[in-house]
Amino acid sequence: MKYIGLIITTAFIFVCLFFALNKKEQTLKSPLLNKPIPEINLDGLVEDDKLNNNNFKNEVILVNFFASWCVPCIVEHDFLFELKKQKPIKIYGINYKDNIKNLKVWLVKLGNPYSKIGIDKTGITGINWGVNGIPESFLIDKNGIIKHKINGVIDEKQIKILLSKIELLEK
Amino acid sequence: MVAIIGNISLICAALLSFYQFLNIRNINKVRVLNPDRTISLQFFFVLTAFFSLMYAYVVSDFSILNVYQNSHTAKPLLYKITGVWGNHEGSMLLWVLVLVFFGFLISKYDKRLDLPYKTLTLSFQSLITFIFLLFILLSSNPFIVISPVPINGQGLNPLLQDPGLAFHPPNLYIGYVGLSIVFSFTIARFYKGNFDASWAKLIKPWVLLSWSFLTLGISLGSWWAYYELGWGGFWFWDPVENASLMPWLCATALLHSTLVLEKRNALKKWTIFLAFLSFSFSLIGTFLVRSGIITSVHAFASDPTRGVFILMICAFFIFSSFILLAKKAGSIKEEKLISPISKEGAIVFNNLLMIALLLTIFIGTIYPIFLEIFTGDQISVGPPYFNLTATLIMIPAVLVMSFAPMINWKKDDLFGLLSRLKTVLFLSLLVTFIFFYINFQGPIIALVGIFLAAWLFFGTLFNFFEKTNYLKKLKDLNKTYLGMTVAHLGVAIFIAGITGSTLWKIEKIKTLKIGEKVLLNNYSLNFDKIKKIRGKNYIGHEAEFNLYKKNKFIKTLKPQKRFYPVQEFATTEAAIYSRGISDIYIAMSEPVDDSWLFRFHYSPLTPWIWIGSIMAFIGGILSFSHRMFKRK
Repeated sequence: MKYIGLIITTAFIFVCLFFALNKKEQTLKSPLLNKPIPEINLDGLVEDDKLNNNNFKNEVILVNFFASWCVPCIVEHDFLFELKKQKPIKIYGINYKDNIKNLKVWLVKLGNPYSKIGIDKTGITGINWGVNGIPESFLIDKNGIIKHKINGVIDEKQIKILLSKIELLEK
Repeated sequence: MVAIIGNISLICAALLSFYQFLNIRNINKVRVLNPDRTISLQFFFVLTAFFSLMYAYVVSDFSILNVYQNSHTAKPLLYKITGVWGNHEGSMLLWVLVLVFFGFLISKYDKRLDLPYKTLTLSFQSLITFIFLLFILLSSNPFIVISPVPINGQGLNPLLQDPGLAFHPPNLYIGYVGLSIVFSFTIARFYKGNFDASWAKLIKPWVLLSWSFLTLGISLGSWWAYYELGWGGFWFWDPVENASLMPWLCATALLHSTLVLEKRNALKKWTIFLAFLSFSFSLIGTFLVRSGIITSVHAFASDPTRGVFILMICAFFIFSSFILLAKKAGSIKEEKLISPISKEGAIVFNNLLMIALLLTIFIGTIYPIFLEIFTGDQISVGPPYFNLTATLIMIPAVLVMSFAPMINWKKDDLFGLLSRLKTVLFLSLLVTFIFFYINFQGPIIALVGIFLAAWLFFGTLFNFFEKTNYLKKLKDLNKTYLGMTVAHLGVAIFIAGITGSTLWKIEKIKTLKIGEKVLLNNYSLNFDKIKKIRGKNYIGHEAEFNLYKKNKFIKTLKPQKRFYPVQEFATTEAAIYSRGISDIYIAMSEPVDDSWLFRFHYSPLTPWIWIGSIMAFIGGILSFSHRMFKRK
């Protein structure tokens, strides 16, 4: 009987750790969550097609940081098309510290899921958005508020989460 | 090819370990199957997998995702090799390698075990191996291939490209995993034999070995942090550091309680509990580090699904062992301990303090997690909490530790003991007074630290002299006793080191132009030069400081700031001048216009932290080798 206390305490600790772990999974933290998007003013792939804060209005938008040198981004690319197929949403690509020539070849080869592309040559925008390592994606609501962040590749599981979040935001 | 060999080896090892575990059913049959062959094969297959991965790293085979993510062709060979365990998957593979290696050692070299008990122990050990191999295969496989094959890799975190890292994790793992052997020995004992002095004798060397390597692993990590991170400290109470300290504290308690069990046939249930708890904490440590549940400076990649897996492994082993203990506790008979003034009394006292400290650290470490669940607040429990509680708990522990080896078993005479301690007390006060005289601006607690160090040092030495009849009977001395003496002296030196390093440290942060100088205690440091440097996979700057003491030139110190272009990451290589009793430490930071920012430390007694730790390690190994290999 003496050991019941021990076992109950241990059980309690485990239950808490389990909850904490679950919670961690739901919100991979970004200090920018529920805050307006940081300033953005980037040249586009085509001349006069700038990407700036004015492009984030009245629409739910997915911002995706990527580069042609990033191998996981290749994996992610197909899933971005898959996402658009299931839900026609605007995806803005931010091309992170890349070589424009390589980028163009890359887009021709793999296709272009992006409605707009901003060129973040210096990586300053990446820093402002708190990007740790690409790919990373942000879901922005109609008022330009960051509602969700995905670290790493958007895959099937992430698409499901994204679809439910988008549905909520569009209501 | 490498990936195929690796995967097949891992699967074979997993099947073999499961097969060995199933052998438990046959344990009561007349002929017990000898486990040596399956255990050797397990070791062989895991070793093959490990070397395949290492090969992939050495030849930069980027078709393997793990190599691609953590290596780069421009990386020096040494770090290609150590990079194998510089990442989650590889380090879990190392974990399992050490696990099967320990099984192999027991099956080959521990001649003290009878066959049924050995089979049972190794079968439980195989269960642990099987579960961890399953974890690797299902959620942390280092042999995943990618296509198309990238041209080059992403490189290893530059902080980890350091000789300190090469040896820190393997040592720590020997410590962690060694505790799994103790765990298996204990579980097996519930089914074969009973918990008597002979059991204590069996597990003792393995506890000693794990404890020694934990000590070495932790101190290597702390040494690495000291000169590589550029913060000038050696311990930060970071959750990951705590994760390694908790099993160490538990193993320390276990080490001493087995002694009581061996000599007095008491503390059986407590010792069993500690054996379980030690392994539990090494599992929990693995969980805390690998799940990314805690925000830590050790920014390992976090993956919550893996966390769930490890948490389930923890829960499985911890609950099954605790429930086993609860069910069988009634049938374990033991002697009652009576006198508080006895060796066992002192050991129990220190055992309780160790566990109190362990719980304090555990609470401090997981409190932020719990608070976040219940309130959503994010906080971090910092050094003030840990420093205060650890100091308060350690003071009485060290006071007792000094004379505990002198007391007799069963019962001793308090006044006789006190009169024997007169000399020790006098010498300790003398040393404290000398320190007070030299360095009287220090806080009072620093004097307490010095007193404790001296008290432990002289107490241990005094006892050593008594025991050897003032060195006349040195030859008759038991090696385990010698080991204990060396380890306790090491702790004394370590305490002095911590005291000097934390309480008397002088720190200056200055921006300097070339030609300027800075004064630090009795030393002067002249900033003479700055030059560009280029290594195999980094570029950077190196400053040159000429160190003078009273106008006499001593040495040129060269701190560096490195930049690793592949990872876009800068590191600080501190320059340290160590005289054995103090360190001069320079860390270099970013340039400000045409001057540079530096951080200077004068840290008295800091080298003693590592000298003391190494002595403790040597002491542990001395006792281990004596217990393991002595002729009967």
